[in-house]
Amino acid sequence: MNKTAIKFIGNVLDPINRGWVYSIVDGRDRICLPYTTRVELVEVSENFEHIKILEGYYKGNTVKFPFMSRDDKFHYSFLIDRCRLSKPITLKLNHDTLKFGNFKCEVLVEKNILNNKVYCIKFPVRSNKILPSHYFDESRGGSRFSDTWFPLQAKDELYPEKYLHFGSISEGCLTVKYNPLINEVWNTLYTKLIHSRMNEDNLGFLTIK
Amino acid sequence: MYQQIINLFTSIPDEAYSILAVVIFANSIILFFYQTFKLKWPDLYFSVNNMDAFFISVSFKRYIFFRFFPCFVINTLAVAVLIKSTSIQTAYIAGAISLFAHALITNGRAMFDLITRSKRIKIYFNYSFQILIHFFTIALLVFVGIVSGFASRLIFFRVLTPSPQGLVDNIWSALIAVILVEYLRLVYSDKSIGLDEVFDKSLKNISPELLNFIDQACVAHNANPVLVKAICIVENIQRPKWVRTFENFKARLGLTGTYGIMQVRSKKKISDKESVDIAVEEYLKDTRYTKNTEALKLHINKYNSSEKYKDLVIRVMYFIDPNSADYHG
Repeated sequence: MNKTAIKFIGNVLDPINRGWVYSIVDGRDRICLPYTTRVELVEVSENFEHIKILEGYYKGNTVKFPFMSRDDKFHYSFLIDRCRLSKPITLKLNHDTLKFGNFKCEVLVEKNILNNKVYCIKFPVRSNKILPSHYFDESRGGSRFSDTWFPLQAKDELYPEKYLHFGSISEGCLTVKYNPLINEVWNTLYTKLIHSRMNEDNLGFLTIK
Repeated sequence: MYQQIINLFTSIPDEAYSILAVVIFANSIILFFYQTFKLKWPDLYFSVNNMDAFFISVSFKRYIFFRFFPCFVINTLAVAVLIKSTSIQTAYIAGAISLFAHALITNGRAMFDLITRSKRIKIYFNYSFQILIHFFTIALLVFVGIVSGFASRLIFFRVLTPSPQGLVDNIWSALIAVILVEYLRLVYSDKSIGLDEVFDKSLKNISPELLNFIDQACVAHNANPVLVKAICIVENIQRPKWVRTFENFKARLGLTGTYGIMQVRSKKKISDKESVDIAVEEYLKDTRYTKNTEALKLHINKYNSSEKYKDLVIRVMYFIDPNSADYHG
């Protein structure tokens, strides 16, 4: 296959994949790529698609990407041709409320952890913490995307020190509060953020009032 | 009067008592075996709410293995233990009667419930096809009973089986084994398959070629690919591939029915791709931008008017993509 094509990671929103797909960097461990990541399809081999990552932490790497399913002659890919991305969104934090348009949710944040400046919301990472199972129970306020954390980085910071994530504990992070009586909070915020694009590294902004 | 009753019992040949003992013993053990799996009698093991049932029903081999093999082994051992010294004809009769009795209280009862339209039983397939499966199972169980009568006289089983006294001794050790197995089952019960895994397995059972074809057909007819795939996944759960293979035999007889993975009505056998084409063109076109779940249910209603079915399809849509419709509230 000589022709290259721009594609996006899709078909991973089900509760089994939870917005992530593993792929293999040559000679290194597996890495986790998030939903909507823009990639370039370089080659299709028997067992893998070879893709070049164009966004996020692993941009520039060429990796072996698994098929969603495959039989003798055909394959069904995790990659999709089109993905609707929006302009960078701005989340506004006012005390313990996070707002975006009509969307509003309660957050846990320690005082003075975030300064009154603008933070960039970066491409998400997958938390390797063992999270309580009820965080994932979507019938009781949980979300399948609970282990997706969005790093926050101000322009004067060398690296992201804080994260926007979902849960009931805040240890120096901005935590969207888990409430068993309110469904879809983190799913909605995740969807907004993951479809938002500022550049190859950042998705949107967070402002503090 | 009392003497007459005594005479009546003494006139009954010993073989009849042996057969009765086989029927009671084998049926108790078989029912206990299935009870361990918590299967809801007298259903067919085909229920998306019952994950063990799903595991068994998706494969014809598994269904055969699970439905007939335990009955064969238990019945053979029962006949071998309790009918040791009588003629082989008695062993045949005992084997057949024992499994016929088992078939009557399970599949026979299910057939009765279906015919009387009892609310106790669900209809998983075509009404007539479900009755046919029960009939097939009863007939095959009787045949398996006769075979187990024959097998009970084989040296292999004779060596395996204890004397009646030995059986009593072994029951104690068996009880301990059962308690241990039940303990392990409870320990591992939290790791049982969930609804999402069922959907995932069904999705993986659909060929990549067909999934690609669904995407193309949806573009051509402005249909919602998530909706079409969700219906496809649900139909694939309810009618696994081996059931569809049986339905194709029916199609060859020229009988009208629902065929293909999408289970669309046809007078002849159709392929899975053809069923997708018909489903998308006739029932699901122009649904691409339908986001409202109630509007989606109206489209699903063309397929199956059962509220449970519609809810299940919406649940699978949510499984595929939580943003594919307006699920809030």
